[in-house]
Amino acid sequence: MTIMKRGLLSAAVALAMAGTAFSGPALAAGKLTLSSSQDPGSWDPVDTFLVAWAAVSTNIFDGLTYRGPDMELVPGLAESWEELDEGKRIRFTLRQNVAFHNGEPFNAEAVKYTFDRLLGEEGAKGPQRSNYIAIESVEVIDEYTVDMKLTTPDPVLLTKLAGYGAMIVPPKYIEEKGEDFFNLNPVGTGAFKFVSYEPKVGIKLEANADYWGGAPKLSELEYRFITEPATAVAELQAGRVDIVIPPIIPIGMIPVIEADDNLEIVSVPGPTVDALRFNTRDGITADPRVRKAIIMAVDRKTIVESILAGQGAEIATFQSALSFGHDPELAPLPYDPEAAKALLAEAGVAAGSPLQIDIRGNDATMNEVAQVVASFLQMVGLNATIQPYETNVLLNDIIPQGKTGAMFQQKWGGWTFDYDNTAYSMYHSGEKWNPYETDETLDEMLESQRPLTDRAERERILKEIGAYIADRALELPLYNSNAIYGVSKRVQNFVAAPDNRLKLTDVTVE
Amino acid sequence: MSATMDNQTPLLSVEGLSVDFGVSRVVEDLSFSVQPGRTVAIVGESGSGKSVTSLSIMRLADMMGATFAAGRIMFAGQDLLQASQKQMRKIRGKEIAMIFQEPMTSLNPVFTIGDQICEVLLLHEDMNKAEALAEATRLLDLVRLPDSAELVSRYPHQLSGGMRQRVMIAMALACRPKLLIADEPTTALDVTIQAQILTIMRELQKDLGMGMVFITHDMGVVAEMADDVVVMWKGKKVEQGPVEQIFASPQHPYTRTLLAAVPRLGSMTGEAFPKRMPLTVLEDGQPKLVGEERVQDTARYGDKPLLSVKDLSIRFDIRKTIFGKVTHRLSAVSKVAFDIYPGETLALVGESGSGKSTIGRTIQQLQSAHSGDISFNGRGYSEMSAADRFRMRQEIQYIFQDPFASLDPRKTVGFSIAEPINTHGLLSGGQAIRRRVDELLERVGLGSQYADRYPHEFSGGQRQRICIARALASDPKLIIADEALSALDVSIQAQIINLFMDLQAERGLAYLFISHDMAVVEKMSHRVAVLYLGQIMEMGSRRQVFETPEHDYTRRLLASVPVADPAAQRNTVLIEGDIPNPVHRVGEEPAILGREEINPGHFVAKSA
Amino acid sequence: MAGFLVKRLLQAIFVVIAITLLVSFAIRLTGDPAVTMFQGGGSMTEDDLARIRAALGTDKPFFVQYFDFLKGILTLDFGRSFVGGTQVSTLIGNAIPATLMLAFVSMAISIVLSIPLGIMAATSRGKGLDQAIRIFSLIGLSFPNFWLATMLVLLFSITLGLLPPSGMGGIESYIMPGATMAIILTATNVRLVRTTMLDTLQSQYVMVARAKGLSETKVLYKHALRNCAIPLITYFGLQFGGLLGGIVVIERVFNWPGLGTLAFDAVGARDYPVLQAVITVLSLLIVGINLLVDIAYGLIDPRIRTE
Repeated sequence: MTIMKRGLLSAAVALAMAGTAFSGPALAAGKLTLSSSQDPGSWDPVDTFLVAWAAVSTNIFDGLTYRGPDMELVPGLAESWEELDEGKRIRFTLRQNVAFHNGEPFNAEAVKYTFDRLLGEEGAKGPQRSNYIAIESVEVIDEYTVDMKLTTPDPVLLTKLAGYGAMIVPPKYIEEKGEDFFNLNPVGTGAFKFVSYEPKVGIKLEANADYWGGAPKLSELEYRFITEPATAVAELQAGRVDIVIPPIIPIGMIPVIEADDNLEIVSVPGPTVDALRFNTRDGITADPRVRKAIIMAVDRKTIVESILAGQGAEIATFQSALSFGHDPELAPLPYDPEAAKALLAEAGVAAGSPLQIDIRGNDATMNEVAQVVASFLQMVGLNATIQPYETNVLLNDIIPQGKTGAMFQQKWGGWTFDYDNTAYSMYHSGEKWNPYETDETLDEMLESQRPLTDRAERERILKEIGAYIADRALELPLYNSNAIYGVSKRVQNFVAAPDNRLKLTDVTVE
Repeated sequence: MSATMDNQTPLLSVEGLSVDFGVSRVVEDLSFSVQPGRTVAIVGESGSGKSVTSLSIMRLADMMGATFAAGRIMFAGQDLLQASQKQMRKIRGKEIAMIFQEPMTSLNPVFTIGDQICEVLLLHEDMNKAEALAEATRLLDLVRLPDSAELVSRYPHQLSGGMRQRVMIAMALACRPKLLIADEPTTALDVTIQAQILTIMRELQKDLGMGMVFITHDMGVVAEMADDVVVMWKGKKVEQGPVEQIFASPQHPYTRTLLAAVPRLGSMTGEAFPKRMPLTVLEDGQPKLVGEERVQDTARYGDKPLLSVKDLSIRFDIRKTIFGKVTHRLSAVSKVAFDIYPGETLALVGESGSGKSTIGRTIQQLQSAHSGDISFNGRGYSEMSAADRFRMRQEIQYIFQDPFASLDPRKTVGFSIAEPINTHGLLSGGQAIRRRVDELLERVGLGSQYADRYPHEFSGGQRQRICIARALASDPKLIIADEALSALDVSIQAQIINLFMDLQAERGLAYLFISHDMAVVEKMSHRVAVLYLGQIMEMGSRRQVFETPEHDYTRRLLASVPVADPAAQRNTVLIEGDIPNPVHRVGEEPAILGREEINPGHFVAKSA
Repeated sequence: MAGFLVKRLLQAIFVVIAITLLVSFAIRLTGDPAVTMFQGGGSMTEDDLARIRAALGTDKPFFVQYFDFLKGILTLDFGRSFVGGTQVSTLIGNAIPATLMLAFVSMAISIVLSIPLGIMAATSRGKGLDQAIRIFSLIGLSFPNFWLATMLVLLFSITLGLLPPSGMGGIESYIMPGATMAIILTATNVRLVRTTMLDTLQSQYVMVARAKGLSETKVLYKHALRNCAIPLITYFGLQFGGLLGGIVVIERVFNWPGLGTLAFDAVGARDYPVLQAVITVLSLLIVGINLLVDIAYGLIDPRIRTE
C-alpha cells in the first residue's frame, strides 16, 4: 500500500507540474526504453483489445475524454460535453488548434470519421466495435461541435471514449495512404509521434513538440516487445530497458529487482480480479450454504500474502478497489473453518465429497492458488481436484457451455473500471459468462442501472448488486492483483497506470 | 642366420623381435633377414603373428597399440625400433613400402588415383605437381594398366579389384623403395587376377632389385613367389629355409602338417570319385595321419534328380529414369540349367560376378528368379503353395562364407541350432530339442558342453561347425555351401571338407558347393559347373572338367591356380584382361550361348 | 540431375502439404481466434464473433480455408495475420533472416569446435583426453538450453555487463544465443565425429596413408576427415532441421525476432495464417537443406557423383 501511496503522491506532483508546463519552454531531452510483453501487430485503434496496444498508443492517440492514472475522467480532445435527451445524446465541444502529426487539422469531421469508421465496415473487422454499439451516429454541428447519438444510454461510454477504439484518427491520412499503411504507420494527435515499427522487435516514437497538452519532456520513446519474463528483467538489470510494463514480472522475481540498487518495483492495484465461481445449478454447490462454507474455508488473506507476496488485495466482489461500484464497506466473508464445517454438516455434505476446480493451465499463479485452495478445502473435509484447461478451451467450450466442475476460474481485467462491465455479463441470465444462474431480481437490478445518468444512483445500485451477489455467494472472491512495474531509478516523475495506459508526457530521465 | 642365405649384408634384418599387445605376446623372438633382390615369404595361419611382423617393420603396429618387448629391426644400419615416428615417416613410402590385403579398401575412395600416387611422390621426392603426375602415369604403365593417362583422374570405385591392386603396387613402387612388404596382396582377388598380379610383382622386383617380404597363408603363392620361407606358428618362427627345401623336406612337424593340408590341384587326377582323405594332425608335437580313406561314391544317379534348375535367369535393375523406366540392367544369371542328384556334390565354380551365389540364393528362395523354374523332388517352385515353399526351407539349408555374421551374437549357439527345429516344429518338448542339439554338436565334433556358449567364444572353424550343425538340425536333403570354406585356414579347411564328406556318406546329403577355389572343388565334388558372367561355360564330372577341360575359360582358370610346388613349371604366360562388368544397357543383353554335349555328361558352351 | 531435382521438388510439395494439412487441422481444434481476439472479454456477443469470423474467413469450411491457403502459397501470398492484419509474407520475410543467421552461426561454431575435438577424442581413444572430452560432452548434453541461456545472461550481461541480454543487433548480440545452441549441438557432434572418426580410422586406406609416410595431421584431416564427411553432413543436415525446431526456445529467451518467436506468438493467438506460413517455410527450409546435403554428397564423394 505504501507503494500505491507513493504512486498517488507523485501523480499529484505530476499534475501540479503539468500546470506549470505551459508557461516554461518545452525542453525535450532523453530517451526512455520500455519493454512491452506483446506486439499487437497493428496500431489501428479499431483492431485490437490488447493492453500492449494501449501501453504504446496512449502516447500516439488521444480520445475525446482522458482518464489518467488517478481514474478521474477529464477533458481530452473534447474541452467539454453535456448529456442531453436523458443520456441518449452527448454534445462535445472540441479543442481548437489541434493538429494530427501529419499536419491534418483535428475537427468535428475527424470525430465523425473516427466513429463512422469504427461502427462501419472497417470496425466490423475488429473487436473494438462491440464496446461502442451504444453509439447510433455522430453528427457534425459545426467545426468544433459534435453530437453523439446513442441507441440506449451507456453509463460507461464516456470512460470508453478515453481509450482504445475511440481514439481519434486522421481521416485524410487514412483515406490517402490506405488502411494497411495506417496499421503500420499510425498518426494521431498524441504527445509522441510515430517514428518506426519493426514487427516482433519494437516501435519507436519521438516527441511531438506541438502537443496541445504541452511538449513532452522526453525526446524519444522506444518500446521493445519482450515476451519472456526473465529476459525482460535481465534487460532491466542490464540497463537496456528503463521500464518493464506489466503484466510480465513474475512475483518470484520481485526480490531480484528490489535487491538491485538501480531498480525499483512500482506497483498499483490493477484492473484484474480473480475468483473461483461456483456451479450454482448442479451438485453440492447448488446449495448456498455449501458455497458460503467453501468461501469461509479458504483463507484468502494468506493467499494474497504468501502467493501474491502482497502484490494484490482481497476482494469481496468481483471488482478492483478502483472500480466504479466498489463498496469499501462490504467486507468479505471471514475465514472461519469451524463455521464452514458446521455449514457443510448442516447442508448434509458427506466428508470427503469430491469437488473439481477448473483453471487456466497457463496461469502459474492460479495453479499455485488452486493448490492452496484445495488444501484449505481438504481441511473442512472436501476433496478438491484441480483441472487445468487450455485457456481458449476453458473460455470457449467449458464455461459458456456450462460444462465446468463445481468451481471454475474467472479472471477479468476490464480497463473501464466499471462494475457493470463484468457484472452484467457474469450474472445476467442468458449471458455468455453466466451458464448456471437465472435470477430475476438480479436481472432487474442489472438492467435498472444501465440507463441511469445519475452517477450516484448508479453507484448505489451497483453496490447493491455486489452485496446481493456476495450474499448469494455466487463465487469465491479471491483477489485483485497489482500491476507490477519494474522501473530504473534514472526514470523520474513516473506514475504507474493501473490499466497500463502509460502516458509519458511528464516523465524525464537522468 | 641361415647358412643358405647370401653372405652379403642383408637389407633388412629382424633380430629377436618380440611384440606385445597389452599383456599378450603375439610375436616372440623372431629373427630373419632379407637380402636385396630376394623374396622372403612369411607363411602361417591366422594368429601366427605374420601381419603384426610386417606392421612392426613399418612401425605402424605402434598405432594399434603394440609395444616392442625385445629385439632389433635393422634397416640401412639403423634400428627401426629406436627410430622416432618422425624419422619413420621419412622411411615409410620412401625406403620401405607396403601393399595390403584388401585392394578394395586400400585406396581412399574420395581422391583420384593420380592424387594418391602423386601424394607419395610430392612427399618424398623433389617434384612439382606436373612432374609427379607424369611420373604417376609412368608408374601406371609399369604395372601394365591401360590408358594410364586417363586413369590418373579416375576414382578407385571406377576400378576393379585387380586394377586397384595394381594401383597400390604402382603407389608402393613410386619412390623405388629398397624393401617392399606385401601383406596377403592377392588373397582377396580372383585366381586369374591373382596370377596377373603375382607375375607383375615378380617381374618388377627383378627389374628394381628390391628386397621383398611376402606375407601369405597360401602355400601355392609361396611356391610361386618366394626365395626363402619363414614359417610362423603361434607367434614363433618354427622353420626357415630356401623355398625348395621347405617344400621338399619340411623339418618342423607344423610345417609338415600345413603342407599336408594344402589342397593341391591335380591331386585327384585319375580318380573317378572324390575321396575322403585321412588328415595329418599334430599330436604330441608329431604329425600323424588320422581318419580313414574312403571313396565318396555316394551319388545316386539312378534316382530322379533331387533338384532341377531349368533355364534360370535372374536379373537386377541397376538404373532407372525418374519415370521408373529401367535403362541399365545386370544379368546375373542367364539360362542356367543343372540337376543335383541325391548324395551328390555339385560344385559351382567361377570368379566374382559369375552369378554363382545368386543361383544359390534363388534356390534357397532368398531371391526371386526372372524366368525359368526350379523343381525339388520333381515339383516346381512355381506350382507349390506358400506352405510348401516354406517347407522347402527345411529341406534345403544354406551355409554362408562368414560364420560369424550368420550367427546371432546375442543368442547361445544351442539356441541358434535349435531355431530351425522350432521354426519348422520338428520336435516338441525342451528335453527332446536339447538332446537333438547335443547330438548335432557332437556330430560336428564340438561336444554338447558348448551349447550354452556364445558365438564370440569360438574360433572361425568352430563357428563354421556350428553353422553346419544348425543346417543339419532340420534334417535337410540339400545343403548349399556358399564359399563355406573360404575364410578358413587350410588345416581347418581340410577338417571341414572331411566333415562334409562324412555327413554325405551317412545321410545321403546332396551339396551345392559354391566356390572359387579350384583345388578344394577338385577334392570334394562329383560334378562341376564352371560359371562365367552368369552362364555355364562347361559342366561335367569332376574328371571331365579337371582332366579334359574343353572351354578356354576353364583352362585359364585352372592355369591360374598357383601350384604348391616350387619345382613345378611356372605359368609365365600373362593372362591379360579383366573380368568384364556384367551391367549392360537395356536392349544390349549379352548373347545366350548354346551348349553341346561333347561326351556323355560333359557339356561345353559354344562360342558366341 | 534434372530428374533428381524434380523428384526432390515433388517430395517437397508432398511434405509441405502433409505437414500444413496436419498443423492447420490441429490448430483449428484448439480454439477460435475470434474469441482470442476479444481476450476473453466480456462484451462479446455471438454476433460479434460471427462478424470477426467472417472478417478472418474462419467461418468457411476447413477445406475451403485450406485450399485458399494452398492457392496463396503459389503466389507467395500467405494472407494476413489475424493479429493486426499485417501481410504474413512481411512477417515471414523479416523472421527468416533472423532465424537463419542464428542457426548458421550456431552450426558454424559447433562444427568448428566439434571436428577437432572429436578427432582428438578419437585419436586418443580411451586415454585421458578422450575421457575429458566425453565427460564435457555429457555435461553439455545434460544442460537444458533455457537454463544454459539464463546462466549465460546472468554472467555476461548482468554481472559482467559485456553482452546484451537479448534482442538482435550487432555481432555481439549473436554471441550468447549462438553459443547456447552451439554448446548443446557440440555436445552431440563431438560424439558423432568421434565415432565416425573411429570407424574411419579402422579403414585400410588410413593405414595405407600412414604407410606412405604422411604426417598424422595429413592422415587425419585429409584422408580420414573427408571420408567422415558423408555421415557427418547427413547428420548436420538432419540436425539443422532439428535445430530450427529447437530454436523456438532460444529465440524466446533471447527475444530473437525469428520464425520461432513468430510461431510461438501465432500459436498463442491462434493466428492460423502466420502459423501455416511458418510451418510451410520451415518445411521448405528443411527440404532445401536436405537438397544441399545431397548436392554436397556428390561434391565430396565421387562414388555418388559419378552414379
